[in-house]
Amino acid sequence: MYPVGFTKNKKRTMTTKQLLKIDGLKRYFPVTKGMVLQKVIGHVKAVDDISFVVNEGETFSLVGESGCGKSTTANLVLKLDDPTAGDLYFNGEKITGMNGPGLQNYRRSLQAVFQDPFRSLNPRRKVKAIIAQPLEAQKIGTKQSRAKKVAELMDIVGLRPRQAELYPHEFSGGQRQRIAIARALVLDPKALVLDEPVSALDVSIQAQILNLLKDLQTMFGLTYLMISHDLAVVDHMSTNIGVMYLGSLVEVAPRKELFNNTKHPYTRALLDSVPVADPSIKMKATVEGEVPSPINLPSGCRFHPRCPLAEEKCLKENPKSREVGPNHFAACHLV
Amino acid sequence: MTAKQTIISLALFWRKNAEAEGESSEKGIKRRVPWLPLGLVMFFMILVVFGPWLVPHDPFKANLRNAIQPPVWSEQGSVTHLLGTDPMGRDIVSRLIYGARITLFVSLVSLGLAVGIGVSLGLIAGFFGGIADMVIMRTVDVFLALPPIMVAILIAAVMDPGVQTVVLAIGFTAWSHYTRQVRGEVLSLKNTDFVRQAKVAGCSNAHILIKDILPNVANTLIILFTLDIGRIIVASATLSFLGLGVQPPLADWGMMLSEGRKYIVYAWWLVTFPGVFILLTVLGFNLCGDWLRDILDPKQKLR
Amino acid sequence: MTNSTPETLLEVKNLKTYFLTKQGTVRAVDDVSFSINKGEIVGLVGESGCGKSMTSMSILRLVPQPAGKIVGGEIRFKGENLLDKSEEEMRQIRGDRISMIVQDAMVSLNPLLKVGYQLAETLKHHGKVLGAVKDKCIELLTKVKVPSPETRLEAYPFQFSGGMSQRALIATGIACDPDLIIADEPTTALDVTIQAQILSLLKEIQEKVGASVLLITHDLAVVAQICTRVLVMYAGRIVEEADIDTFFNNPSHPYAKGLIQSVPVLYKEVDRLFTIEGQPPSLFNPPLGCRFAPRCPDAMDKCLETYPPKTTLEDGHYVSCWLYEK
Repeated sequence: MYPVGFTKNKKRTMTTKQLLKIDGLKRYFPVTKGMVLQKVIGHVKAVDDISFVVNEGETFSLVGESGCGKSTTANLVLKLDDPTAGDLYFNGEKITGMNGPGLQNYRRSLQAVFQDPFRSLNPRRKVKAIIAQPLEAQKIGTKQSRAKKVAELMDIVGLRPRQAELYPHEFSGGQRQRIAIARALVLDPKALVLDEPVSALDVSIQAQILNLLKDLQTMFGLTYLMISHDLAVVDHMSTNIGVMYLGSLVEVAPRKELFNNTKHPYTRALLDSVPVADPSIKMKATVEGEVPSPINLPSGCRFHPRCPLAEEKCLKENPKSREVGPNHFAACHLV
Repeated sequence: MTAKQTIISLALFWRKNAEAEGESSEKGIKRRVPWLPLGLVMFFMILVVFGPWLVPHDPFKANLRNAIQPPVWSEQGSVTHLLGTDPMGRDIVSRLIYGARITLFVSLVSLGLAVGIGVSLGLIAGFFGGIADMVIMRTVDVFLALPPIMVAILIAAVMDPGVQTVVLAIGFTAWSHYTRQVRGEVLSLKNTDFVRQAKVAGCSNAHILIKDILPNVANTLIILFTLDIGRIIVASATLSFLGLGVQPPLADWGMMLSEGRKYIVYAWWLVTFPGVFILLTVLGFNLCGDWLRDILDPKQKLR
Repeated sequence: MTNSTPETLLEVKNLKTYFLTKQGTVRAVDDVSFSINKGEIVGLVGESGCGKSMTSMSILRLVPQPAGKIVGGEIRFKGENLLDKSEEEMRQIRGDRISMIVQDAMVSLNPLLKVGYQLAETLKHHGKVLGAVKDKCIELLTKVKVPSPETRLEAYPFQFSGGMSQRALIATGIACDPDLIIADEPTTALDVTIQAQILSLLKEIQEKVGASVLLITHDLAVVAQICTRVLVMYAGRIVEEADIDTFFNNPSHPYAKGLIQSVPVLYKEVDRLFTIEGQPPSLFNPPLGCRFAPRCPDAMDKCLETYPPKTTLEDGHYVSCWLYEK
């Protein structure tokens, strides 16, 4: 399955350089009432003041349940949406508010792979056109050089050259995700945003794609920002992990540190809830209730209504993120 | 066999055919090609294209000696005029053929006009949203409320009645339907992952509209188009019937129906044949549209 | 596990469900046999397209028509063959003796009817309650731990969250005290903390009500958490059957082994995940021999030619694989 000339474990020495920096990012969606004169009656605070850093060559995963704001964050990083406040830096440059050629440049460095392999490819275009699309959009190369690049990438992701003439519906889910990955790499980006890259795939195919992503990261020195709800996948792939709840980052830590030295009660609850394929390790449903509506956020700490350790302070004051260990930050009063 | 028995046995035959296909293997889609409707459509297309060379007589030349001759199988009928003649002695067959050209030409052009306007506005409204969307959709609401016949009469009052009246009348009223449909599709396509991907890749809006959105809307459009032709043919025939379309000596089927109305009791062939032709054309296009919808749809469902 | 002779509740023998399409015949369920005893939670595991959902549909005789058809086999529920029953008799059984909980509660609950109404509908249809329907509904919602059930009865499905509507669905599932509950991917669409709650609930309900559960899922971890026995399906057939501890300690079929090894496991560090090469076979023309053979790292010539018989490895542990031929 590997192309000729590819050697595994081609590790390049990386300097820990900050590639992506998120600083105080906020995204509020106005809630309006009335059909003609739309009066703003509140805000959905989808992303509420998050900050984190992704170093070059590493994988940072944002993990959380539905409504936590991780997908909105992905959209903000990809500039598919503009933040209400806060800044985004890439390679030292400020990206918020960028337009025109600067934006095109940014796009060249940061690409994406989305969740649903059945809907992320235009069903009416041939695979070779799909993979070449970013090159066309950025006006790079000639027809021949593009075709060559497409063939090269198809080979790297494990697709056969004659498959370039086929349409997406003729491929399986796993193969389509490979096409999406090939397309994401065609501009030689520095980083990829992976939005639930394997959630929609069958179990045995997930493993193939995760291995491929890891190999590509080593081969090209890529940086990954991964969004996922699956803690096992996050455990397998990440260097650093950020746990989100209702728009806030409740805990950020390097992988092992997060699992061995869990600080925030929500992270604890999340880890306890994950079923493990081993009958001797039973999961525990330690947290009650449901995630509240993002329009009516609880006062103080957002997690307090469901937190088994909540105290009076938690109802009043929203805790700020503090350093609780080596590179480990948590937002909780009781830590 | 009575007509009812014929229809029932035909229906049973088709149904058995359809069931048998369930058990067959690779012959699949090819067998379902509706030869009859396709044949009908082809037949009329040939009339349209090769009409002038196929007419046995001059459809406009009056010959009062032969007026109101019945079709060939009647007593006074003759082989020269297979389907009889009209009150001016003009051959029905020739007039039908020329009528086909006009009816179909008018229908296709006006529908083309409607689709062109409708789709463009739908794309803009759906993709860009905001004020453009609001303005366009309110306009659509207004136009959908207009009855086509009234519009045609208004246009005829302003311009001279003729082919252009029908084309404009239909064009002005049919486009709104397409805009609404296309806008709806664009709205759902706008949020799909592959459009998001295109934006992430840096594609311009025009690029996305033409390369990503339009081809996916085309599917529905083709189906709508073929299904609409039937309706439009009837609409243009109606307008001609009312005297708002082509004027004598030119005639299309609607006009022929109108002229033949007075003679319906003793010269039944004057209205029957144009009516049957309208029926067959519309039926042919409708059935083809149905078939197109079936083959264009399940492509994605094979997974 | 408990006592002496387990009472067999459901016995499926050589079930075959095919779909007749223009492109050919899809053998969705191709000779499947298993049984479920009273009080068990059996997990039916497999990836998409393996036929697990279709198996459950076949038991309830809800195979999508006209294309789908149960072409062979027996489904004995409490001794009687369900395939012999009339549609009217099946309607009595569905919801009453055998109920089903599906994945997407949002789709299964009618958005235009109040939840209380839908719950009551099930009860009334099976003539369960003569007078106090509302009280029974409140009792059910309390059983599934829906807070403030009185107000919830008057709510519409869209006012429920994912977890809550799944609970409501479970309530309809247990309304008539069924003998068998078929749960088809009941937690796949739910967040992980809610999933944990729902799985605990299912286990608790099963113990209280005494029903058996057939849990259909692709997630081996879920199976490990609440099932007592597991059946692994591949390409329309069952390839391994074992009780839960035996299965996870000693998976025998290469597919089952591959499946377990290819899933990333929390806390367990591996550099690369084990992968099963290739794709599942087409169900139009499944291969003659073992269906997993083209992808199997241990395949022998024999495997490609003939389908292996069901071999008993030990009591309760069966596998269909030539590697274990006695």
